[in-house]
Amino acid sequence: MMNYLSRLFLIISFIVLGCMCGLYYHYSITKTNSVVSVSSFHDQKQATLFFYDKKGCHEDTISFFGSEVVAQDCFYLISQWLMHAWHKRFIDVPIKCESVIIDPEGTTIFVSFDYSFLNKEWPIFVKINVINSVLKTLHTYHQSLQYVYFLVRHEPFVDPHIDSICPFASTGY
Amino acid sequence: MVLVLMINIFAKDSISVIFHPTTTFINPGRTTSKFFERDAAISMMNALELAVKKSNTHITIIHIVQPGTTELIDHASLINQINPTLTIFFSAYSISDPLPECGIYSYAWSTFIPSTSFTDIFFISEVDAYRVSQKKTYYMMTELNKLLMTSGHYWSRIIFSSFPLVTLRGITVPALLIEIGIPEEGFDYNEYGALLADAFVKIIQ
Repeated sequence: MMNYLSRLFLIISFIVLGCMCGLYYHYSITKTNSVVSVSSFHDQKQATLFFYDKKGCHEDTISFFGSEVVAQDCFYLISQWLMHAWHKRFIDVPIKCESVIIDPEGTTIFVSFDYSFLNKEWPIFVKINVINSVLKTLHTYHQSLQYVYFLVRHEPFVDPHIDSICPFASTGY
Repeated sequence: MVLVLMINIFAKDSISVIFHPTTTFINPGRTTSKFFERDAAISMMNALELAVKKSNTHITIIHIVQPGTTELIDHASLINQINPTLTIFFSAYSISDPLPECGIYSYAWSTFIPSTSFTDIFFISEVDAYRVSQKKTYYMMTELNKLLMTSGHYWSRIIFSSFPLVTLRGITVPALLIEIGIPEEGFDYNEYGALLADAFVKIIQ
């Protein structure tokens, strides 16, 4: 009987010890992550999202915690622009920004989407408006950007009208 | 069926214009799904041609596609050989507004050449010719814009842009893309054909 109780006690001890180790591990991981996330954001920023259409230019202002990395801010900005554009039915399908890279000089930005934000059946005028909207949003936020490459899955996108092999001037057209 | 009229084309003093409705060559999605736009582009081109003929000028009009058909031919080398004063590609889209919209775009050929095939080497040798054509195209586009702006009450919007359009590879002659937003009802093709023809005649003569 005593032998049985001591075995039971040992098993319970192991279980309790395991739970405590698990809790400590979880706590340490959470603590580390929170430190990283807090350290990467330093202040709250404001940015303007632009939407050109037939009637002119519409603006939405958003606030977000800015990062020390410009590409990260641009990624967030473009993601927000895509979300707003989708809600406004400015673009036809919900599109995600996959990645944003800025060259070492900080003048050229490469933006890759999961799908082209231009419907190939749109008139050129509409396509120019949509592209100008993204360019204006990026340029207003970060004025040292000069050239913008739009990619789909990290490759130039195919459109019957727009030549995506050449970079777009960030000041728009 | 291809109909190529080559009358007086190779004479030095001749003025020749190619009118080309863009269907599957430029924008396959649009014209295969929306027949109105394809038909509107062809109707607009026919009205323009008629107006040019009525203007009693010595302008030769060349078709590389027979109006009324959808058959499309990529004839960059043929167009270069014909060496027209101006090549105009027409595209149309439907709008709900009563007044049409007009967009004038210049084709600019990128010097980016992804491969080194025989055809690409030919393109490189044509770069200088292209640059001359590019200047001519820009001049024509600017003049056309000025002329159309004076008839502003006919249009709800006139767009004029040298936005980087997709390359018309191999074409080294002046080339413009005219994209017109056309109301599906009540649009007078002949009136607008005459309006555009008047502007074209002025810039190429």
